[in-house]
Amino acid sequence: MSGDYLLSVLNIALIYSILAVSLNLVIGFAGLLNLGHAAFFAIGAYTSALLTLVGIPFGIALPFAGILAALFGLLLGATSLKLRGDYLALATLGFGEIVRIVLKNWDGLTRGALGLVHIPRPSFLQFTVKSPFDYFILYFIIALVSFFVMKKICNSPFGRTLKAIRDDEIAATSLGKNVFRYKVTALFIAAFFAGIAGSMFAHVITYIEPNSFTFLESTIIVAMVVLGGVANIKGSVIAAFVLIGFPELFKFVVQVWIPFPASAQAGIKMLVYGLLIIGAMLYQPEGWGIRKLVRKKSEGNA
Amino acid sequence: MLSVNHLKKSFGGITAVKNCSFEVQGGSITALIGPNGAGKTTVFNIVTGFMRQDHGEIFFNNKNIDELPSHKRAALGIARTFQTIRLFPKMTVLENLLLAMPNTKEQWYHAFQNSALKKIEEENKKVALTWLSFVGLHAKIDEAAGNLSYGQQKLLEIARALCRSPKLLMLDEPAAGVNPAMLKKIGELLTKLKQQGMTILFIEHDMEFVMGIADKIIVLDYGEEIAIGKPVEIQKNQRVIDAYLGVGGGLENHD
Repeated sequence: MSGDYLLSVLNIALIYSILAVSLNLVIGFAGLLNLGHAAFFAIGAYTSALLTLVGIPFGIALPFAGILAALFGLLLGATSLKLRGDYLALATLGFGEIVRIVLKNWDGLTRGALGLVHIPRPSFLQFTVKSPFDYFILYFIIALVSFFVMKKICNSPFGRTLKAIRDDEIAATSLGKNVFRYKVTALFIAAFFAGIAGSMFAHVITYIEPNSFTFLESTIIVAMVVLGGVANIKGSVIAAFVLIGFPELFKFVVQVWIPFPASAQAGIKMLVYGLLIIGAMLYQPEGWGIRKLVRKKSEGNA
Repeated sequence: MLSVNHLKKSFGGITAVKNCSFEVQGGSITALIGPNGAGKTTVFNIVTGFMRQDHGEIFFNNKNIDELPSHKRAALGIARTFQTIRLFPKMTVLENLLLAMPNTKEQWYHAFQNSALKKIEEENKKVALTWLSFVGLHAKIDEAAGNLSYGQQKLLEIARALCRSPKLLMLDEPAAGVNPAMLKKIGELLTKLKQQGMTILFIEHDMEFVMGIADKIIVLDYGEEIAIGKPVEIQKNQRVIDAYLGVGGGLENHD
Protein backbone atom coordinates (compact mmCIF):
# COMPACT_ATOMS: atom_id res chain seq x y z
CA MET A 1 0.00 0.00 0.00
CA SER A 2 1.57 3.22 -1.04
CA GLY A 3 1.53 6.19 1.31
CA ASP A 4 -0.55 8.26 -1.06
CA TYR A 5 -3.17 5.59 -1.28
CA LEU A 6 -3.37 5.32 2.47
CA LEU A 7 -3.71 9.10 2.74
CA SER A 8 -6.50 9.14 0.15
CA VAL A 9 -8.40 6.58 2.19
CA LEU A 10 -7.80 8.60 5.35
CA ASN A 11 -9.12 11.72 3.64
CA ILE A 12 -12.36 9.97 2.78
CA ALA A 13 -12.51 8.60 6.30
CA LEU A 14 -12.15 12.12 7.70
CA ILE A 15 -15.07 13.27 5.55
CA TYR A 16 -17.22 10.39 6.70
CA SER A 17 -16.31 10.91 10.31
CA ILE A 18 -17.70 14.45 10.08
CA LEU A 19 -20.85 12.98 8.51
CA ALA A 20 -21.13 10.36 11.22
CA VAL A 21 -20.64 12.79 14.08
CA SER A 22 -23.14 15.23 12.61
CA LEU A 23 -25.70 12.48 12.14
CA ASN A 24 -25.07 11.34 15.68
CA LEU A 25 -26.14 14.78 16.81
CA VAL A 26 -29.53 14.05 15.24
CA ILE A 27 -29.91 10.34 15.96
CA GLY A 28 -27.93 9.98 19.15
CA PHE A 29 -28.66 13.23 20.91
CA ALA A 30 -32.01 14.35 19.54
CA GLY A 31 -33.29 10.80 18.97
CA LEU A 32 -34.51 11.46 15.43
CA LEU A 33 -33.94 8.67 12.94
CA ASN A 34 -32.77 10.59 9.91
CA LEU A 35 -32.37 8.37 6.86
CA GLY A 36 -31.70 11.20 4.45
CA HIS A 37 -28.43 12.58 5.70
CA ALA A 38 -26.77 12.00 2.33
CA ALA A 39 -29.05 14.71 0.94
CA PHE A 40 -27.25 17.38 2.98
CA PHE A 41 -23.96 15.82 1.94
CA ALA A 42 -25.08 16.14 -1.69
CA ILE A 43 -26.31 19.70 -1.31
CA GLY A 44 -23.00 20.68 0.22
CA ALA A 45 -21.04 18.94 -2.51
CA TYR A 46 -23.00 20.47 -5.38
CA THR A 47 -23.08 23.94 -3.84
CA SER A 48 -19.35 23.99 -3.30
CA ALA A 49 -18.59 22.45 -6.70
CA LEU A 50 -20.82 24.87 -8.60
CA LEU A 51 -19.49 27.88 -6.74
CA THR A 52 -15.85 27.00 -7.32
CA LEU A 53 -16.57 26.16 -10.96
CA VAL A 54 -17.60 29.77 -11.50
CA GLY A 55 -14.41 30.96 -9.82
CA ILE A 56 -15.35 31.49 -6.22
CA PRO A 57 -12.51 30.37 -3.93
CA PHE A 58 -12.80 27.23 -1.80
CA GLY A 59 -12.48 29.26 1.39
CA ILE A 60 -15.83 30.91 0.64
CA ALA A 61 -17.51 27.95 -1.04
CA LEU A 62 -16.89 25.69 1.95
CA PRO A 63 -18.89 27.65 4.55
CA PHE A 64 -21.48 28.47 1.92
CA ALA A 65 -21.98 24.74 1.28
CA GLY A 66 -22.58 24.29 4.97
CA ILE A 67 -25.01 27.19 5.18
CA LEU A 68 -27.11 26.09 2.21
CA ALA A 69 -27.27 22.52 3.52
CA ALA A 70 -28.28 23.91 6.92
CA LEU A 71 -31.08 25.91 5.31
CA PHE A 72 -32.35 22.71 3.74
CA GLY A 73 -32.04 21.17 7.19
CA LEU A 74 -34.37 23.89 8.46
CA LEU A 75 -36.76 23.21 5.60
CA LEU A 76 -36.84 19.47 6.27
CA GLY A 77 -37.08 20.07 10.00
CA ALA A 78 -39.88 22.58 9.82
CA THR A 79 -41.94 20.32 7.58
CA SER A 80 -41.28 16.90 9.04
CA LEU A 81 -40.21 17.15 12.67
CA LYS A 82 -43.76 17.07 13.96
CA LEU A 83 -43.69 13.45 12.84
CA ARG A 84 -42.42 10.74 15.10
CA GLY A 85 -40.53 7.49 14.85
CA ASP A 86 -41.09 5.52 11.69
CA TYR A 87 -43.00 8.34 10.00
CA LEU A 88 -40.13 10.73 10.48
CA ALA A 89 -37.70 8.12 9.17
CA LEU A 90 -39.81 7.74 6.05
CA ALA A 91 -40.07 11.49 5.55
CA THR A 92 -36.30 11.92 5.78
CA LEU A 93 -35.80 8.98 3.45
CA GLY A 94 -38.15 10.62 0.98
CA PHE A 95 -36.29 13.91 1.32
CA GLY A 96 -33.01 12.17 0.51
CA GLU A 97 -34.47 10.68 -2.64
CA ILE A 98 -36.09 13.96 -3.71
CA VAL A 99 -32.80 15.81 -3.46
CA ARG A 100 -30.98 13.13 -5.44
CA ILE A 101 -33.66 13.05 -8.14
CA VAL A 102 -33.72 16.82 -8.44
CA LEU A 103 -29.94 16.83 -8.85
CA LYS A 104 -30.27 14.15 -11.48
CA ASN A 105 -32.88 15.99 -13.50
CA TRP A 106 -31.93 19.63 -13.14
CA ASP A 107 -29.69 19.38 -16.20
CA GLY A 108 -29.24 23.12 -16.59
CA LEU A 109 -27.59 23.46 -13.21
CA THR A 110 -26.13 20.09 -12.32
CA ARG A 111 -25.62 18.51 -15.75
CA GLY A 112 -27.85 15.71 -14.52
CA ALA A 113 -26.50 12.21 -14.59
CA LEU A 114 -23.33 13.38 -16.30
CA GLY A 115 -22.26 14.93 -13.05
CA LEU A 116 -19.88 17.80 -12.47
CA VAL A 117 -16.32 17.32 -13.63
CA HIS A 118 -13.06 19.18 -13.12
CA ILE A 119 -14.07 20.58 -9.79
CA PRO A 120 -11.19 22.86 -8.81
CA ARG A 121 -8.87 21.76 -6.07
CA PRO A 122 -8.86 23.92 -2.94
CA SER A 123 -6.46 26.82 -3.22
CA PHE A 124 -5.43 29.58 -0.90
CA LEU A 125 -3.77 32.62 -2.45
CA GLN A 126 -0.84 31.12 -4.39
CA PHE A 127 -1.00 27.69 -2.87
CA THR A 128 -3.11 24.94 -4.40
CA VAL A 129 -3.84 21.74 -2.54
CA LYS A 130 -2.70 18.90 -4.77
CA SER A 131 -1.14 15.84 -3.17
CA PRO A 132 -3.04 13.52 -0.84
CA PHE A 133 -0.76 14.77 1.92
CA ASP A 134 -1.81 18.39 1.33
CA TYR A 135 -5.41 17.29 1.41
CA PHE A 136 -4.83 15.34 4.56
CA ILE A 137 -3.41 18.36 6.38
CA LEU A 138 -6.27 20.61 5.23
CA TYR A 139 -9.02 18.09 5.89
CA PHE A 140 -7.55 17.05 9.19
CA ILE A 141 -7.76 20.66 10.34
CA ILE A 142 -11.33 21.10 9.07
CA ALA A 143 -12.35 17.83 10.70
CA LEU A 144 -10.74 18.74 14.01
CA VAL A 145 -12.49 22.09 14.08
CA SER A 146 -15.79 20.40 13.21
CA PHE A 147 -15.40 17.78 15.93
CA PHE A 148 -14.45 20.45 18.43
CA VAL A 149 -17.49 22.57 17.61
CA MET A 150 -19.91 19.64 17.60
CA LYS A 151 -18.50 18.17 20.79
CA LYS A 152 -18.73 21.52 22.49
CA ILE A 153 -22.35 21.86 21.42
CA CYS A 154 -23.20 18.31 22.49
CA ASN A 155 -21.60 18.68 25.90
CA SER A 156 -23.27 22.01 26.58
CA PRO A 157 -26.66 22.48 28.22
CA PHE A 158 -28.06 22.42 24.69
CA GLY A 159 -26.86 18.84 24.26
CA ARG A 160 -28.25 17.94 27.66
CA THR A 161 -31.63 19.32 26.68
CA LEU A 162 -31.54 17.36 23.41
CA LYS A 163 -30.91 14.17 25.36
CA ALA A 164 -33.76 15.01 27.69
CA ILE A 165 -36.06 15.46 24.72
CA ARG A 166 -34.84 12.17 23.27
CA ASP A 167 -35.54 10.34 26.51
CA ASP A 168 -38.91 11.89 27.36
CA GLU A 169 -40.54 14.58 25.27
CA ILE A 170 -43.43 15.06 27.64
CA ALA A 171 -41.21 15.59 30.66
CA ALA A 172 -39.01 17.97 28.67
CA THR A 173 -42.07 19.95 27.58
CA SER A 174 -43.28 20.16 31.16
CA LEU A 175 -39.92 21.75 31.99
CA GLY A 176 -40.59 24.52 29.49
CA LYS A 177 -38.58 23.16 26.57
CA ASN A 178 -39.81 23.97 23.09
CA VAL A 179 -39.25 20.45 21.83
CA PHE A 180 -39.94 21.17 18.18
CA ARG A 181 -37.51 24.07 18.08
CA TYR A 182 -34.73 22.05 19.65
CA LYS A 183 -35.22 19.26 17.14
CA VAL A 184 -35.14 21.65 14.21
CA THR A 185 -32.01 23.29 15.60
CA ALA A 186 -30.30 19.92 15.96
CA LEU A 187 -31.09 19.09 12.35
CA PHE A 188 -29.93 22.54 11.28
CA ILE A 189 -26.52 22.08 12.90
CA ALA A 190 -26.12 18.52 11.65
CA ALA A 191 -27.03 19.57 8.10
CA PHE A 192 -24.46 22.35 8.25
CA PHE A 193 -21.65 19.93 8.98
CA ALA A 194 -22.91 17.42 6.44
CA GLY A 195 -22.74 20.26 3.93
CA ILE A 196 -19.15 20.97 4.95
CA ALA A 197 -18.36 17.29 4.48
CA GLY A 198 -20.01 17.43 1.06
CA SER A 199 -17.82 20.31 0.02
CA MET A 200 -14.71 18.43 1.17
CA PHE A 201 -15.85 15.38 -0.77
CA ALA A 202 -16.42 17.33 -3.99
CA HIS A 203 -12.99 18.91 -3.90
CA VAL A 204 -11.01 15.79 -3.12
CA ILE A 205 -12.77 13.53 -5.66
CA THR A 206 -13.14 16.47 -8.14
CA TYR A 207 -16.03 14.67 -9.79
CA ILE A 208 -19.54 14.27 -8.41
CA GLU A 209 -22.72 12.81 -9.80
CA PRO A 210 -26.14 12.28 -8.25
CA ASN A 211 -25.48 8.61 -7.70
CA SER A 212 -22.68 9.46 -5.29
CA PHE A 213 -25.44 10.34 -2.84
CA THR A 214 -27.92 7.49 -2.83
CA PHE A 215 -29.90 6.08 0.03
CA LEU A 216 -27.03 3.64 0.48
CA GLU A 217 -24.79 6.53 1.55
CA SER A 218 -27.30 7.54 4.20
CA THR A 219 -27.44 3.95 5.39
CA ILE A 220 -23.69 3.74 5.71
CA ILE A 221 -23.64 6.90 7.82
CA VAL A 222 -26.41 5.50 10.00
CA ALA A 223 -24.34 2.32 10.34
CA MET A 224 -21.41 4.39 11.58
CA VAL A 225 -23.58 6.03 14.21
CA VAL A 226 -25.02 2.70 15.32
CA LEU A 227 -21.63 1.01 15.47
CA GLY A 228 -20.01 3.93 17.26
CA GLY A 229 -22.77 4.15 19.80
CA VAL A 230 -25.58 6.64 20.05
CA ALA A 231 -24.60 9.97 21.57
CA ASN A 232 -20.96 8.86 21.45
CA ILE A 233 -18.92 11.27 19.36
CA LYS A 234 -15.62 9.46 19.68
CA GLY A 235 -17.36 6.22 18.77
CA SER A 236 -18.74 7.75 15.58
CA VAL A 237 -15.27 8.87 14.50
CA ILE A 238 -13.78 5.45 15.15
CA ALA A 239 -16.65 3.71 13.39
CA ALA A 240 -16.26 5.99 10.36
CA PHE A 241 -12.58 5.14 10.09
CA VAL A 242 -13.26 1.43 10.50
CA LEU A 243 -16.10 1.31 7.99
CA ILE A 244 -14.15 3.31 5.42
CA GLY A 245 -10.79 1.73 6.08
CA PHE A 246 -11.85 -1.84 6.52
CA PRO A 247 -13.23 -2.46 3.02
CA GLU A 248 -10.07 -0.95 1.53
CA LEU A 249 -7.99 -3.35 3.53
CA PHE A 250 -10.40 -6.08 2.64
CA LYS A 251 -9.94 -5.32 -1.04
CA PHE A 252 -6.34 -6.36 -0.82
CA VAL A 253 -7.10 -9.48 1.12
CA VAL A 254 -9.69 -10.39 -1.45
CA GLN A 255 -7.33 -9.75 -4.31
CA VAL A 256 -4.54 -11.77 -2.79
CA TRP A 257 -6.29 -14.59 -0.97
CA ILE A 258 -9.76 -15.12 -2.31
CA PRO A 259 -10.43 -15.54 -6.00
CA PHE A 260 -13.45 -13.24 -6.18
CA PRO A 261 -13.86 -11.30 -9.39
CA ALA A 262 -13.24 -7.58 -8.97
CA SER A 263 -16.82 -6.89 -9.98
CA ALA A 264 -18.06 -8.61 -6.84
CA GLN A 265 -16.05 -6.42 -4.52
CA ALA A 266 -18.66 -3.73 -4.04
CA GLY A 267 -21.16 -6.39 -3.08
CA ILE A 268 -18.75 -7.97 -0.65
CA LYS A 269 -18.21 -4.59 0.98
CA MET A 270 -21.90 -4.25 1.68
CA LEU A 271 -22.02 -7.83 2.87
CA VAL A 272 -19.33 -7.09 5.41
CA TYR A 273 -21.13 -3.92 6.51
CA GLY A 274 -24.27 -5.92 7.00
CA LEU A 275 -22.49 -8.55 9.06
CA LEU A 276 -20.77 -5.90 11.16
CA ILE A 277 -24.06 -4.17 11.92
CA ILE A 278 -25.84 -7.40 12.79
CA GLY A 279 -22.89 -8.39 14.97
CA ALA A 280 -22.90 -5.00 16.66
CA MET A 281 -26.61 -5.18 17.35
CA LEU A 282 -26.30 -8.66 18.80
CA TYR A 283 -23.20 -8.23 20.90
CA GLN A 284 -22.56 -4.52 21.35
CA PRO A 285 -25.88 -2.72 20.98
CA GLU A 286 -24.49 0.27 22.85
CA GLY A 287 -21.70 0.69 20.32
CA TRP A 288 -17.99 0.29 20.70
CA GLY A 289 -17.27 3.48 22.49
CA ILE A 290 -16.62 3.81 26.17
CA ARG A 291 -19.87 4.71 27.83
CA LYS A 292 -19.58 6.55 31.07
CA LEU A 293 -23.20 6.09 31.90
CA VAL A 294 -23.11 2.31 31.85
CA ARG A 295 -20.17 2.38 34.21
CA LYS A 296 -21.90 4.82 36.48
CA LYS A 297 -24.98 2.67 36.56
CA SER A 298 -23.17 -0.54 37.41
CA GLU A 299 -21.26 1.27 40.15
CA GLY A 300 -24.53 2.53 41.50
CA ASN A 301 -25.97 -0.95 41.59
CA ALA A 302 -22.95 -2.48 43.25
CA MET B 1 -54.49 32.32 40.63
CA LEU B 2 -55.87 29.54 38.48
CA SER B 3 -59.41 29.63 37.25
CA VAL B 4 -60.99 26.83 35.25
CA ASN B 5 -64.35 27.58 33.65
CA HIS B 6 -66.76 25.04 32.22
CA LEU B 7 -64.13 22.66 30.99
CA LYS B 8 -65.25 19.86 28.69
CA LYS B 9 -63.24 17.12 27.03
CA SER B 10 -64.38 13.96 25.24
CA PHE B 11 -62.39 11.08 23.87
CA GLY B 12 -64.51 9.63 21.11
CA GLY B 13 -67.78 8.72 22.78
CA ILE B 14 -66.46 8.99 26.32
CA THR B 15 -66.78 12.29 28.10
CA ALA B 16 -63.83 12.44 30.45
CA VAL B 17 -64.51 15.96 31.67
CA LYS B 18 -67.87 17.65 31.39
CA ASN B 19 -68.49 21.12 32.66
CA CYS B 20 -65.82 21.32 35.30
CA SER B 21 -65.17 24.66 36.99
CA PHE B 22 -63.03 25.57 39.96
CA GLU B 23 -60.56 28.08 41.26
CA VAL B 24 -57.24 27.80 42.98
CA GLN B 25 -56.33 30.64 45.34
CA GLY B 26 -52.76 31.86 45.56
CA GLY B 27 -50.77 30.63 48.55
CA SER B 28 -53.08 27.74 49.33
CA ILE B 29 -53.12 23.99 48.95
CA THR B 30 -55.96 22.66 46.84
CA ALA B 31 -56.68 18.98 46.40
CA LEU B 32 -58.41 17.45 43.43
CA ILE B 33 -60.01 14.17 44.42
CA GLY B 34 -62.51 11.77 42.97
CA PRO B 35 -63.02 8.12 42.13
CA ASN B 36 -60.90 6.47 39.45
CA GLY B 37 -61.78 7.75 36.01
CA ALA B 38 -63.32 10.93 37.34
CA GLY B 39 -61.18 13.00 34.97
CA LYS B 40 -58.65 14.39 37.43
CA THR B 41 -55.55 13.71 35.36
CA THR B 42 -57.36 14.90 32.24
CA VAL B 43 -58.00 18.21 33.97
CA PHE B 44 -54.31 18.37 34.87
CA ASN B 45 -53.30 17.63 31.30
CA ILE B 46 -55.62 20.31 29.97
CA VAL B 47 -54.43 22.93 32.44
CA THR B 48 -50.78 22.20 31.61
CA GLY B 49 -51.50 22.19 27.89
CA PHE B 50 -50.79 18.55 27.12
CA MET B 51 -54.37 18.25 25.91
CA ARG B 52 -56.72 20.76 24.40
CA GLN B 53 -60.20 21.11 25.88
CA ASP B 54 -63.29 20.91 23.66
CA HIS B 55 -64.98 23.73 25.56
CA GLY B 56 -64.22 26.03 28.41
CA GLU B 57 -61.51 28.43 29.40
CA ILE B 58 -58.50 28.46 31.64
CA PHE B 59 -57.20 31.62 33.27
CA PHE B 60 -53.84 31.82 34.97
CA ASN B 61 -53.28 35.03 36.92
CA ASN B 62 -56.26 36.51 35.06
CA LYS B 63 -54.73 35.73 31.71
CA ASN B 64 -56.42 33.35 29.30
CA ILE B 65 -53.91 30.61 28.50
CA ASP B 66 -56.06 28.47 26.20
CA GLU B 67 -53.97 29.19 23.14
CA LEU B 68 -50.59 28.69 24.79
CA PRO B 69 -48.64 25.51 24.05
CA SER B 70 -47.41 23.43 26.95
CA HIS B 71 -43.90 24.77 27.17
CA LYS B 72 -45.15 28.35 27.28
CA ARG B 73 -47.50 27.56 30.13
CA ALA B 74 -44.51 26.06 31.92
CA ALA B 75 -42.64 29.29 31.26
CA LEU B 76 -45.49 31.26 32.85
CA GLY B 77 -44.82 29.41 36.08
CA ILE B 78 -46.93 26.28 36.01
CA ALA B 79 -44.83 23.28 37.02
CA ARG B 80 -46.12 19.75 37.28
CA THR B 81 -45.24 16.21 38.17
CA PHE B 82 -46.72 13.09 36.64
CA GLN B 83 -48.75 10.18 37.91
CA THR B 84 -46.15 7.80 36.51
CA ILE B 85 -42.76 9.26 37.33
CA ARG B 86 -41.19 11.05 34.40
CA LEU B 87 -37.62 11.64 35.40
CA PHE B 88 -34.71 11.20 33.04
CA PRO B 89 -33.53 7.94 34.57
CA LYS B 90 -30.18 7.74 32.80
CA MET B 91 -29.17 11.22 33.83
CA THR B 92 -27.85 12.15 37.23
CA VAL B 93 -29.99 13.74 39.89
CA LEU B 94 -28.19 17.03 39.34
CA GLU B 95 -28.71 16.91 35.57
CA ASN B 96 -32.40 16.26 36.09
CA LEU B 97 -32.62 19.40 38.19
CA LEU B 98 -30.44 21.55 35.95
CA LEU B 99 -32.76 20.71 33.06
CA ALA B 100 -35.60 22.32 34.96
CA MET B 101 -33.96 25.66 35.61
CA PRO B 102 -35.82 28.54 34.01
CA ASN B 103 -32.61 30.53 33.76
CA THR B 104 -30.28 28.60 31.53
CA LYS B 105 -28.04 29.14 28.62
CA GLU B 106 -29.12 26.19 26.59
CA GLN B 107 -29.22 27.46 23.05
CA TRP B 108 -26.55 25.93 20.87
CA TYR B 109 -24.59 29.17 20.50
CA HIS B 110 -24.34 29.45 24.27
CA ALA B 111 -22.01 26.45 24.09
CA PHE B 112 -19.17 28.81 23.18
CA GLN B 113 -19.74 31.38 25.92
CA ASN B 114 -17.50 29.54 28.35
CA SER B 115 -17.41 31.89 31.31
CA ALA B 116 -21.05 32.97 31.18
CA LEU B 117 -22.09 29.36 30.84
CA LYS B 118 -19.96 28.26 33.76
CA LYS B 119 -21.32 31.03 35.92
CA ILE B 120 -24.97 30.25 35.27
CA GLU B 121 -24.42 26.51 35.71
CA GLU B 122 -22.80 27.18 39.08
CA GLU B 123 -25.69 29.38 40.13
CA ASN B 124 -28.19 26.79 39.00
CA LYS B 125 -26.31 24.08 40.84
CA LYS B 126 -26.73 26.08 44.03
CA VAL B 127 -30.46 26.37 43.47
CA ALA B 128 -30.59 22.64 42.74
CA LEU B 129 -28.73 21.88 45.97
CA THR B 130 -31.14 24.03 47.95
CA TRP B 131 -34.13 22.09 46.71
CA LEU B 132 -32.33 18.78 47.01
CA SER B 133 -31.63 19.52 50.65
CA PHE B 134 -35.24 20.58 51.06
CA VAL B 135 -36.45 17.14 49.97
CA GLY B 136 -33.51 15.44 51.69
CA LEU B 137 -31.74 14.04 48.65
CA HIS B 138 -28.54 16.12 48.67
CA ALA B 139 -26.43 13.01 49.21
CA LYS B 140 -27.70 11.57 45.91
CA ILE B 141 -26.70 14.47 43.72
CA ASP B 142 -24.42 12.48 41.39
CA GLU B 143 -26.47 9.30 41.40
CA ALA B 144 -28.31 8.27 38.22
CA ALA B 145 -31.95 9.21 38.81
CA GLY B 146 -33.08 5.72 37.78
CA ASN B 147 -31.12 4.22 40.68
CA LEU B 148 -33.13 6.01 43.33
CA SER B 149 -35.88 4.23 45.19
CA TYR B 150 -39.46 4.85 44.15
CA GLY B 151 -40.12 7.25 46.98
CA GLN B 152 -36.89 9.13 46.33
CA GLN B 153 -37.83 9.44 42.68
CA LYS B 154 -41.15 10.96 43.72
CA LEU B 155 -39.28 13.47 45.85
CA LEU B 156 -36.84 14.21 43.07
CA GLU B 157 -39.67 14.88 40.66
CA ILE B 158 -41.12 17.37 43.14
CA ALA B 159 -37.69 18.97 43.58
CA ARG B 160 -37.35 19.20 39.82
CA ALA B 161 -40.70 20.97 39.55
CA LEU B 162 -39.61 23.33 42.33
CA CYS B 163 -36.42 24.17 40.44
CA ARG B 164 -38.61 25.92 37.91
CA SER B 165 -39.48 28.47 40.62
CA PRO B 166 -43.13 27.90 39.82
CA LYS B 167 -46.04 30.09 40.80
CA LEU B 168 -48.32 27.09 40.70
CA LEU B 169 -47.11 23.61 41.59
CA MET B 170 -49.30 20.82 40.24
CA LEU B 171 -48.66 17.35 41.64
CA ASP B 172 -50.37 14.31 40.17
CA GLU B 173 -50.57 11.78 43.02
CA PRO B 174 -47.43 12.82 44.88
CA ALA B 175 -48.04 10.26 47.60
CA ALA B 176 -49.22 7.28 45.57
CA GLY B 177 -47.41 4.07 46.35
CA VAL B 178 -45.01 5.43 48.94
CA ASN B 179 -44.57 4.09 52.46
CA PRO B 180 -46.22 5.79 55.47
CA ALA B 181 -43.02 7.51 56.58
CA MET B 182 -42.50 8.97 53.13
CA LEU B 183 -46.18 9.93 52.98
CA LYS B 184 -45.80 11.93 56.16
CA LYS B 185 -42.65 13.54 54.86
CA ILE B 186 -44.29 14.61 51.59
CA GLY B 187 -47.19 16.08 53.54
CA GLU B 188 -44.79 18.08 55.68
CA LEU B 189 -42.88 19.29 52.64
CA LEU B 190 -46.04 20.53 50.97
CA THR B 191 -47.15 22.33 54.12
CA LYS B 192 -43.71 23.93 54.39
CA LEU B 193 -43.95 25.06 50.77
CA LYS B 194 -47.29 26.65 51.46
CA GLN B 195 -45.80 28.55 54.38
CA GLN B 196 -43.23 29.89 51.94
CA GLY B 197 -46.06 31.19 49.79
CA MET B 198 -46.29 28.44 47.17
CA THR B 199 -49.61 27.64 45.53
CA ILE B 200 -50.19 23.91 45.21
CA LEU B 201 -52.82 21.91 43.36
CA PHE B 202 -52.59 18.17 43.75
CA ILE B 203 -54.42 14.96 42.92
CA GLU B 204 -54.47 12.28 45.57
CA HIS B 205 -56.41 9.23 46.64
CA ASP B 206 -55.16 8.93 50.20
CA MET B 207 -57.94 10.71 52.13
CA GLU B 208 -56.04 11.04 55.37
CA PHE B 209 -53.22 12.74 53.49
CA VAL B 210 -55.63 15.02 51.63
CA MET B 211 -57.63 15.98 54.72
CA GLY B 212 -54.42 16.65 56.62
CA ILE B 213 -52.90 19.25 54.33
CA ALA B 214 -55.51 20.65 51.94
CA ASP B 215 -57.12 24.04 52.48
CA LYS B 216 -59.69 23.34 49.85
CA ILE B 217 -60.88 20.16 48.19
CA ILE B 218 -62.46 19.81 44.78
CA VAL B 219 -64.31 16.55 44.24
CA LEU B 220 -64.73 15.33 40.69
CA ASP B 221 -67.12 12.63 39.65
CA TYR B 222 -67.81 11.69 36.05
CA GLY B 223 -65.94 14.77 34.91
CA GLU B 224 -67.97 17.22 36.92
CA GLU B 225 -67.13 18.95 40.16
CA ILE B 226 -69.73 17.71 42.62
CA ALA B 227 -68.39 19.48 45.69
CA ILE B 228 -65.90 22.17 46.57
CA GLY B 229 -65.05 23.11 50.09
CA LYS B 230 -62.95 22.77 53.19
CA PRO B 231 -61.99 19.25 54.29
CA VAL B 232 -64.60 19.19 57.05
CA GLU B 233 -67.35 20.19 54.64
CA ILE B 234 -66.32 17.60 52.11
CA GLN B 235 -66.29 14.82 54.71
CA LYS B 236 -69.94 15.50 55.45
CA ASN B 237 -71.10 16.06 51.90
CA GLN B 238 -73.68 13.45 50.90
CA ARG B 239 -72.92 13.59 47.17
CA VAL B 240 -69.26 12.92 47.88
CA ILE B 241 -70.08 9.97 50.08
CA ASP B 242 -72.40 8.62 47.39
CA ALA B 243 -69.78 9.05 44.71
CA TYR B 244 -67.17 7.17 46.69
CA LEU B 245 -69.31 4.47 48.22
CA GLY B 246 -72.16 4.26 45.73
CA VAL B 247 -75.63 5.67 46.34
CA GLY B 248 -77.14 4.21 49.47
CA GLY B 249 -73.87 2.57 50.34
CA GLY B 250 -73.06 4.89 53.23
CA LEU B 251 -72.96 3.37 56.65
CA GLU B 252 -74.81 6.28 58.22
CA ASN B 253 -77.53 8.58 56.98
CA HIS B 254 -79.74 5.91 55.52
CA ASP B 255 -82.94 7.62 54.40
